[in-house]
Amino acid sequence: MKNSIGKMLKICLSLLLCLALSGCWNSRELDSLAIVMGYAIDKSDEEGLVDMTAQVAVLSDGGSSDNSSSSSNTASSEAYWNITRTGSSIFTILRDYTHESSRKLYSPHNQVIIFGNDLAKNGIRDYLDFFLRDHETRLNVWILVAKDKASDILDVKPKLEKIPAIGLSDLIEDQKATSETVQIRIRDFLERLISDTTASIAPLVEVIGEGKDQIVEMSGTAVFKQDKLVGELNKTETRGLLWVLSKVNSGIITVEAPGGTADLEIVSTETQVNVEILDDGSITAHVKITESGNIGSQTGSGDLSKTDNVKILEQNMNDAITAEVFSAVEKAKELDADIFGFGDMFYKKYPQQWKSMKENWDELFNEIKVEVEVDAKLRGSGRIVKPAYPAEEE
Amino acid sequence: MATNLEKGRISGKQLMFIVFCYIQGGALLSGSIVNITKQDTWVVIVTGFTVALFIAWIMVQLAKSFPDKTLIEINELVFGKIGGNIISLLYVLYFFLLTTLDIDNLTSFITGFVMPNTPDTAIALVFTFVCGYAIYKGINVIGRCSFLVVLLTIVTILFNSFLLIKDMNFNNFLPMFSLPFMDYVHGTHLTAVAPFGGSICFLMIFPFVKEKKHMAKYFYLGGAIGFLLFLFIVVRDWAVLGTVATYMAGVTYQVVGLVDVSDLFTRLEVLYSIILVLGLFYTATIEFYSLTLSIAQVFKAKTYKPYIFIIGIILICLSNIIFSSVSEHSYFTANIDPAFLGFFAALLPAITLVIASVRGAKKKQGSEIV
Amino acid sequence: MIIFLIIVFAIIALINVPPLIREKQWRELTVYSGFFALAVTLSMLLALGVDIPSPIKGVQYIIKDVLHLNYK
Repeated sequence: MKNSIGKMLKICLSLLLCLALSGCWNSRELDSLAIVMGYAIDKSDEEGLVDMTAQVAVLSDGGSSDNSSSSSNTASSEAYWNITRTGSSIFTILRDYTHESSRKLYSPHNQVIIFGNDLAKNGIRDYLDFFLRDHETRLNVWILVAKDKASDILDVKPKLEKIPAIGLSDLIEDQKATSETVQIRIRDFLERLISDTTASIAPLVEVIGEGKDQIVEMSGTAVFKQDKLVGELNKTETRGLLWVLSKVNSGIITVEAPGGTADLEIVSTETQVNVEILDDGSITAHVKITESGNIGSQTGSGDLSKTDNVKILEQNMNDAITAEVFSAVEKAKELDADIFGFGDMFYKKYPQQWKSMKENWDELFNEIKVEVEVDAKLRGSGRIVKPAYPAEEE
Repeated sequence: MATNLEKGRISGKQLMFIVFCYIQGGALLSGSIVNITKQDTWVVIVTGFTVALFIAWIMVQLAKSFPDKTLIEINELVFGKIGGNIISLLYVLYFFLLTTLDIDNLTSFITGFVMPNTPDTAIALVFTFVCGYAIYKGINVIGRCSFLVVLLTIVTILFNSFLLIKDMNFNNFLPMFSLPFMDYVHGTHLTAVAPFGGSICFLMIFPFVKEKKHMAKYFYLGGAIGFLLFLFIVVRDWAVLGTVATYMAGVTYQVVGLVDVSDLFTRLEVLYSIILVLGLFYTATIEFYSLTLSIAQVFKAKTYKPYIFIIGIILICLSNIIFSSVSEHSYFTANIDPAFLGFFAALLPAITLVIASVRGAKKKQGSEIV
Repeated sequence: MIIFLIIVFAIIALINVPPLIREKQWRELTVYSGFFALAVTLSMLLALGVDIPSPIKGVQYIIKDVLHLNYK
């Protein structure tokens, strides 16, 4: 008797405990969520306010069966919905969305946060705080700066994807193929923001074209001083920056070759940076880049498999890479922004001297001598050894 | 006497696993230590561990001098009936606060990261209930599950860390040894007493270990492996995040949340939350267990079981009132905790040991009676 | 809320007290009642929303203001 009552009680208790498993206080059904894929934040026309656009994924499967010649309901065939609202801070705008959206916004699947150019010039630190603090948002989100208005970026329907934010996130990931764009997640941005001297960077993105032929294109890097946008790097300068940061994945550099030009493909690289304070007080940064690559394609009739020619190619590659790095250094000095993180490297190596160097880092950075040493190797030439020309007579 | 209260026994290996789980429950502490010593945290963990070893040694000496006696009984033998009772009451109060702190750690973790809108009391209720149930079933049961928890913890942590290798940057540990000296002392003090702060609880458990001969070895081993994993976690966290870690609440949780391997292994912080809760469960259960056992012994009860429920309720009430804000909690953990835990976990036992050996010496000379 | 608490405490008392009375363990009963009273008071006060001073604050006071053993 006692046993069965005891057992009943235990079963009831276990079931009761299971209630705690689902977190029923905080549970939200899937169809009560508005899943946000991207955020775009712009300066509003009204003083001191910001416009925030949230791109919500529309998860119904309607609209794909009919031939969409019925133009009356174009909104229902879109897979996303951009809601824009205005407010004084990110969190207030987010809650404000509930005035318009039938579901509360759900941020964990957010892919990108885009800042408008005007807003970036004024400083984005205050607007980042929410994304760092809230427990729904994640540290892996991509950060971008728009060349003009951020909400325009989210309006462009990508050709290969259904939702612009996903298209944008895939676009950023693909940049590894050319390494002419930086890939910045919010945690990378945070890491640079909390440093005294390192300048923050973010990829620039712009809308090209008119009307239905609009596309979104990555176009360089935005450079910040603390959290205010101060300048840009173009594609070559960006790659120069990536060389120093050892973040070049792949890419093509066209160099002069005997008989024409050659497109050399970068396969793997490694960079080591050594900073030093010289006896006379001047500071240098020694950048040593090792690279190995292939011949992607060539023009002209030069037989690039000959050792002499290979040496010429490697030398040209060295020069090309050095030129890219120097162009980045020049632009950084012009903008007074330490995008390479040299300041932090000095701190790590010379912690005592850094205390006095910190104050005048801007001037010191302007005078830093950057030495670049490149060791490029040509590993292969692809499937053919000689270009398609009739054989030369020896 | 103690062996009347508790019929269960645990093996030496189970003791080792329990000690390991106990230390993992204190893993939330890594955030506090990291804020103090930043890139040199690994240094203070190593030095803190050495000090903790010394504290563990004191425990073992006491256990060896008084085999089969729990802390309460030892106190009575060493300080006399009245003195012993006073000291034991102090320990009871200490255990109360210790258990409450750990229940509070758990509720703040869950409400901070997992279920923000759930009221603290509901979480504390369910958690304390499960701990109470474990105690009701006896130390035997607690020992038996410890192996599973250890296995789960180690596998999860290694798995997570493996996926984070590509994010690690060992440059984050420079510059080394450039912080003010007091920070190192502070960090060492905190590491030595905090994850292991309730080590005094184990003095309540030693009498129930079957193999007395190797008990010390298992105790040290459990502590060593526990600390080693703690060190591993802290080093990994700092290697991945660097200075950003000092801005984070719940460092390890955020670090594990960064795992993103080709969209397949993402959002792995769920796994980490599970093992953290399991670790905290062990910590709270051991402390809760020592609490009920010591109350039963101080008040000379026949069994400790009826007290579990009541004490559980008191604990839940206490966990509601101890801290009114997160900043108070972190201030307490960083600045007051070292002294508080150090007194009860290290100073009092040391005094007990000294007096015990003096008395023992006197007894041998036959010159003094109690 | 308070009614719920009263019911719960009544159940606990009903389960745990009669065995103690039956075996005439008066000492046990007194100790048990002491803790029981503490639990009841605390939970009632909390349910009524009364601000109870936290013992941790007491510890903090002793260590910080009296002994100055805190770090910062």
